[in-house]
Amino acid sequence: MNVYKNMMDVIVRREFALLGRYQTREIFKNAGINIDEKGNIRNPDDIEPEDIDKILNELKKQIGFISILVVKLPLRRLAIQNNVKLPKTIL
Amino acid sequence: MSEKYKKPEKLAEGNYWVGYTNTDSAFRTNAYIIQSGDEIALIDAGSAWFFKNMSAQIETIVDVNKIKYFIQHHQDPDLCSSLPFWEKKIGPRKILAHSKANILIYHYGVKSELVNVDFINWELQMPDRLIKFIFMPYMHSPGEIMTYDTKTKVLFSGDIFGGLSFDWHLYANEDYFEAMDAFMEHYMPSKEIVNINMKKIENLEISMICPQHGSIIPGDRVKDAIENMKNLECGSYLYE
Repeated sequence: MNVYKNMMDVIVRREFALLGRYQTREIFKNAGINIDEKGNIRNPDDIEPEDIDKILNELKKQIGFISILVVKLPLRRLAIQNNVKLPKTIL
Repeated sequence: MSEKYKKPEKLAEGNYWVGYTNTDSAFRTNAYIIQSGDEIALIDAGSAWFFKNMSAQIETIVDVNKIKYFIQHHQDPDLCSSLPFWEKKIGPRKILAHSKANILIYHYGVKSELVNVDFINWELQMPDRLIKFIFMPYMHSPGEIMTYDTKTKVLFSGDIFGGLSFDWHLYANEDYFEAMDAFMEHYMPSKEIVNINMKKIENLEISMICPQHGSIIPGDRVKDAIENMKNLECGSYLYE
């Protein structure tokens, strides 16, 4: 199981709800991560920790703290459950 | 956002959404009115920042001087800080809230009579309908209440079932439960408390849920919304 893929799924779902699907897809595209209109990530097995930080930094830059707030707890939960490091942006 | 949502919207007989659609915030505030005969109850009066716009909206559908009650689901400023402005406009009225909320609402400098719903049998008789108050302690305030219109079966839920979104719709879209989780998981204290309180409404006939933030949950999604709340992973202290 790729924990980072699961983390990315959480970010997509939460940002869809916060920003709407169109704006979310644009921001992801700018960060080099392609998702379709249903939120499926292209090449999900290639997601790495750096990708999580990259998209969170992009969201923080473009939208602000609230885009991080909405993903903070589920990402922390996933990190703790899977004993992996938290994304730097969440720390 | 549709232009039409800059105007009040009728939800059911005597029930209107009168919120202010501040487009630059994900933390939108909804307010509602119950109009019954010659009496009006304003539910979660709103923020001081939005008073001018919101009161102007309300005046397009009712005579604001007929507001008899302010029903406040808890004491936070986003729903109470307009109260002194309302009083300046129409004079003191009756503020209905839980006693644990009213002792704090007093500090907004209000002159209205503070009516504790826990001391009036959790009910308010209006001319053509009975309004019931449901105690929801610690969700998120110790004196949290919901308001249930027994005539229209509309449940006004305060912060509970609220959501965070810039992509706001008056009625919940397909992504709304994620928006709801994003807000609720930070503000709700524990899964145990949420589940105890959800039992109070899970068998209630509900035509729609009207939260103070986010979107209205239509009747066909009410059961799913309650189930979603019961499964909410909350208690943020666990992760801080």
